[in-house]
Amino acid sequence: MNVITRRTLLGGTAALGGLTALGLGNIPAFADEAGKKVLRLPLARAAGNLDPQRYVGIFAVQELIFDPLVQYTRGGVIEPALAESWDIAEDETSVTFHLRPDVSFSDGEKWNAESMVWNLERWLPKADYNWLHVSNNLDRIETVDDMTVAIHFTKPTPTALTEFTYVRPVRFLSPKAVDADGAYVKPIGTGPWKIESDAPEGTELVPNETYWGNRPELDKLSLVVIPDARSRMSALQAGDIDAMGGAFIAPVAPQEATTLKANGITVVTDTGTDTMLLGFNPRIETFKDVKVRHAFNLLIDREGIASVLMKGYATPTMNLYPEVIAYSGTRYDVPKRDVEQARQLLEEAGWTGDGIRTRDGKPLKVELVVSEDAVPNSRALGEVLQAGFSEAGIDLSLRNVDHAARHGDIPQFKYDLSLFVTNGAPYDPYNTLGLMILSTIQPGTDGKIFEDTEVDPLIEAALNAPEGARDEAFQAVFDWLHDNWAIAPLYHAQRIWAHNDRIKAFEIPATEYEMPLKGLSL
Amino acid sequence: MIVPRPAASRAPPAFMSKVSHQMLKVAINRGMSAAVLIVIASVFSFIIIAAFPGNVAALIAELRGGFVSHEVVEKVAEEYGLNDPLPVRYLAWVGDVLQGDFGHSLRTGEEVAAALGKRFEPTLVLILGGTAVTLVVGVTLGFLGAMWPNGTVDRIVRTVAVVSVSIPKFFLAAMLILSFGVMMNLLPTFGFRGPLSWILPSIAVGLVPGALLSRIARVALEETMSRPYVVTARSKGFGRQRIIFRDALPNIVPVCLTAVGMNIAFITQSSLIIEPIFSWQGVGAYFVEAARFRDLPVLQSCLLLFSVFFIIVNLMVDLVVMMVDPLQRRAARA
Repeated sequence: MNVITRRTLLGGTAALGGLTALGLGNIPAFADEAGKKVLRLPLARAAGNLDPQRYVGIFAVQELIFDPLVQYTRGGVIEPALAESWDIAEDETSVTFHLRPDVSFSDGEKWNAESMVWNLERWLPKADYNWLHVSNNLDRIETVDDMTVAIHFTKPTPTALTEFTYVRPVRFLSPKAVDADGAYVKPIGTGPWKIESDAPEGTELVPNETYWGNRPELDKLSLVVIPDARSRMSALQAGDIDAMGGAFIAPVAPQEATTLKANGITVVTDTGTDTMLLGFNPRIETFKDVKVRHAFNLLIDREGIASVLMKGYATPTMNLYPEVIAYSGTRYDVPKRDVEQARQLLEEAGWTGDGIRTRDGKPLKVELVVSEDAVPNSRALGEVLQAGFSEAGIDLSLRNVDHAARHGDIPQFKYDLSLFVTNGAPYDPYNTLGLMILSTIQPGTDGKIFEDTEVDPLIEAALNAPEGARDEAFQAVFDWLHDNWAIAPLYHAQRIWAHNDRIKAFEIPATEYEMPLKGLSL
Repeated sequence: MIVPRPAASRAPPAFMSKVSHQMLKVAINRGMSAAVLIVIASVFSFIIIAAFPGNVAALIAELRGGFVSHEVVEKVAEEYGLNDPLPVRYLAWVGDVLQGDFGHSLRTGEEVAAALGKRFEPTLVLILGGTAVTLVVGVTLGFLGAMWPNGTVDRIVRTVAVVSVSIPKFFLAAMLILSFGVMMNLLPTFGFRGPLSWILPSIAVGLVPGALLSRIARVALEETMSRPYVVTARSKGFGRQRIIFRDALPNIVPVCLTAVGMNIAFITQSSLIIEPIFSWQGVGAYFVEAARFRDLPVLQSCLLLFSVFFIIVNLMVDLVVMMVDPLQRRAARA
């Protein structure tokens, strides 16, 4: 029996290593793209499963492929898309969509009443999608003719049009893009782009030559996965990518924006559509007292948080929604931090003593759940709040958890204080009030910012108010929340994008669920 | 004068078959203890991941669709067997793994085995590249130090080694990207696309173990240089350089190999940090991503894979060292 000698072993290993290196050296690099207009954007994580009825993929990528019936634009203005026009019944119990003619999916399938109804049947009647009023209130889907579909509801559904602008689950998939059992197979839509390749490293898209709207002026869109924010900044500075930004695409934090700006990168901002707020657990005794909530509100230095922590990329607020959201109501004054008045309010509420205040021998200890994963920036914010509250004898401790733990604790009200972010465009003004404040709806994974049976009828009235009466109905809700110090809004963060010189014109999209391609030129 | 070798030396000498027999025995022994280790590792990788706080069912339910109520979460927990006792879940998992079924990702629904297959290549390149950097840096610096002991070069090498060991990997990676990617624009800042893009990540994972190896090589050489056969060689009038390369080098190979084997474990662990920084979609990045979403099947599979890999690498290093080291070979025979 022969044995491997030292020499053959070492030589063999070296040869094997060399061969492996040669083999791996043949991995195709990014294709040569000379002379083509290619835009490179980063994604913080892979585009994932793009099934429009699932909640897995990146919104902004789904948005490129799948069209809505109607398009959400700035300030909640609804514009035609796959539906050319629509009629809303007087009592808002039905919407009739007149479909755009001569539209086809990128696999050649025709867009008509049949393909539309086929899509709607996939989700609209199912209980899983009851969080949407159109699904919850659905009576029946009626095919009027080949290009007209009416959707009937069991009660007035004024949110219908807005809900049909959402990315998922409402967008339209080619009826041929599923298997024999009807399960999703591949992403085929009517949108301006189609997938050329999709891998964990990134997704490449090319224009859909059959698109019904204006063809993109780009030849290719290359989305590359760069999970690390610092790496994205380096890649942008080195010219390996062209832009970064978007809360759910490749977020830019205020500090990062400051650094990029200092390095000569163009930073573009726009008014945010959401609100960062501090929520009081409505089910614990301490926060049932309006004086305590008032005192906590007065101890927050909103100006300081916006200018220092957020580097000026935020507007301090006392409103639930920023002004860009439809029916967001009149602006409230942002109170100056007032420790004296807060102390007095706490005294009146029975919380007394030097150092940590007590009531009936119980110290005023509260816990703030922070989660960098679920609410970016929440840890630093928690520390600022902690310092502010301690001055009035409140012992605030921070409990740092990850996304999964927060999702477990928040809906079960296992917290004293928590940071929340409103849903933003296009979901608001309806979703945050309807899902995160209305007490008759079970708390979802995002939990409840506040709940009180007293405000429920006001919210119901606002959600069901007909056009014309909506402003007033929403204002009544906001006034109630404000007068009762029910929530502690902190700021509206600005939306930040950064881009290099290759991009000549750049426009931040209407929602965080879209790529900034409209109005972009190289 | 060239002396022709006797013909008998071409055929393996009689004792060699005995050696291989002995080695086989050692190998089987080591293999068995490795198997026991793998079983223990599988128990730990299951328990550690399963004991994570947080409601996985809520996450799965949320990813499936829509607004998630308490009932939906309960239903999901039931469906995935998340309410079963840990031993039951462990046995079910091990049963599947033994049949090659690593389960499906909770987040994407993708088969874990297939996903791992897709992500294997970047991690392999990182390990090979990092090991190459470790060897080149470690052996070169070690020799430079040993050639001129306590001289200027040795001192510089020592300082470089101490400084490199103290640098956190993520900082080193960021500095490499900043200098070679952004400022000099020589190498890609991210991505796994061809040999050029492999350079920075390999340096980022290999430099620190290289610095450590240089100290080990330097000390081993120093020790070897005080051996009687070196004194003999010197008395014959051979130069320091010749003695180091011809006589001392083969003697430090086992020490260096063992150190490199340990470093492979270190580099694999570094992949968790380095892969996301360079946007490599390897096993390390997959693990980190899965950790954020409590993707239990993925986490358990990755952890098991890492443990098995460590154990096998260590086993292989032991066997290789035994083959290249005449002393150990003889010890095994005795």
